[in-house]
Order: sequence, then C-alpha cells, then structure tokens
Amino acid sequence: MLQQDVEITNKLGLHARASAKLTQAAGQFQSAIWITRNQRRVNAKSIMGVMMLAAAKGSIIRLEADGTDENQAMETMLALFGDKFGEGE
Amino acid sequence: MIGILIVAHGTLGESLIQCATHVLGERPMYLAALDVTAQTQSNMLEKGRSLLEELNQGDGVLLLSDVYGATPCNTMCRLLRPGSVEGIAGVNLPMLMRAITYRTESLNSLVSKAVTGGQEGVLYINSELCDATTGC
Repeated sequence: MLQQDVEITNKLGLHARASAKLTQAAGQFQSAIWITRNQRRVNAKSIMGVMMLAAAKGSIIRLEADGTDENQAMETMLALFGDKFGEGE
Repeated sequence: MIGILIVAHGTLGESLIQCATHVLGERPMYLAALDVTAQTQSNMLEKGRSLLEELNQGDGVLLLSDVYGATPCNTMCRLLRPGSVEGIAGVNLPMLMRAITYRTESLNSLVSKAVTGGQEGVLYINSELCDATTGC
C-alpha cells in the first residue's frame, strides 16, 4: 500500500471538472485508491465523493493506493495534481 | 449500460444533461431528457415510450423526475416496468452525476446509489462548509 500527501495547487481546487478528471483516471486502475482530507476518506473513483471533499487550493490531501498496479496509479494521480488538472493555473 | 431518462418540467432535464456534460467533458451516452411543457403534454407518454426503446440496451432504464405528484412524475409512473424500468423523484445534479457513475451496475444497485447521492447532495452550507471549499 502506498500513501503520499499532496497539496492542491490549482486555482479552483478540487472542483467539479477536476474531480471528474481525477475519478476517470483513478477508474483505469485495479488498485483501490482513496483520498483523505480532514479525516474524511473517500473512494477516488467516486465523482460525488471526491467533489464533496470540497478541497480548495492550498488544502493538503492524502492519497492512498493499494493493489497490483498501485505504483502506476500513484504516479498517474500525482501527475494530475502536479499538472493542476491541465487547467494552467 | 443502463440508460437514463430525465422526465421533468420545462428544460430542467436537458439543462441537467448539459451540466453533467460540462463536468465530464463529453455528453454521456444513452442519456436523454423528456422535457415537459404545456405544448408537449398531450403526447408525452408516446414520446417517453419511444425514448425508452432508444435508451434500453438490454440492461434497463433509470427514469429521473423532479417532483412526485406533478405531471412529469405522473407520466414517469406510467412508463415504469418493475425490474427493467425504475424511477426516482427529486432529481438533482448530484443524483444525476452519481447515476452516471454507477450505470454499469445492476438496476437495483443503481437506484439505491442514485437516491443516496441525491440525498447527500442536499446540504445546509454553514460557515464551516463554506470555509472548507473556499479555503478562507
């Protein structure tokens, strides 16, 4: 099981379209993927769960991946956050 | 994949589909709206049956309506076929998003996921929730 904390750096935070991109990416992996913010832990493959974390810019969330493709899953998730979900700001 | 048909007043159904399309980046397949206006009321049932045929890929169709007791929901009731065409009233965007997410599961499971999604999406936004989402 892998886990890593990551800061949300895009201007709009984990808003609807970003949540959709994240859940679509997470859905490609066999591994279970979880996101935790303020003790609230949700399935990263569930769009409503991710969106309702309401994680604004500057929030720190914890990513967890557990399964046969956990390395690739974690790498893909971190790349999305690092790329600000392709939003440029 | 389970088809989804929104049966609602005015252009609410098509608007909800456009909201989901905006969020997801593409218009989901097998998702349609039966918009109920004063002009369309007379042949709604016929239109509904024809849309059900288009949307049903063999896994059934989930119908979502706005207000129980109102004309769109009454029409929806006449389209239901327990086990293959099921319906929910009180549609909102969280319910639709959740329904789109889980439409490859069984129809029973989809009904339950959509109902909870819709209910959990209704929140009083107190200052704590507001601060959480704005980062203030």
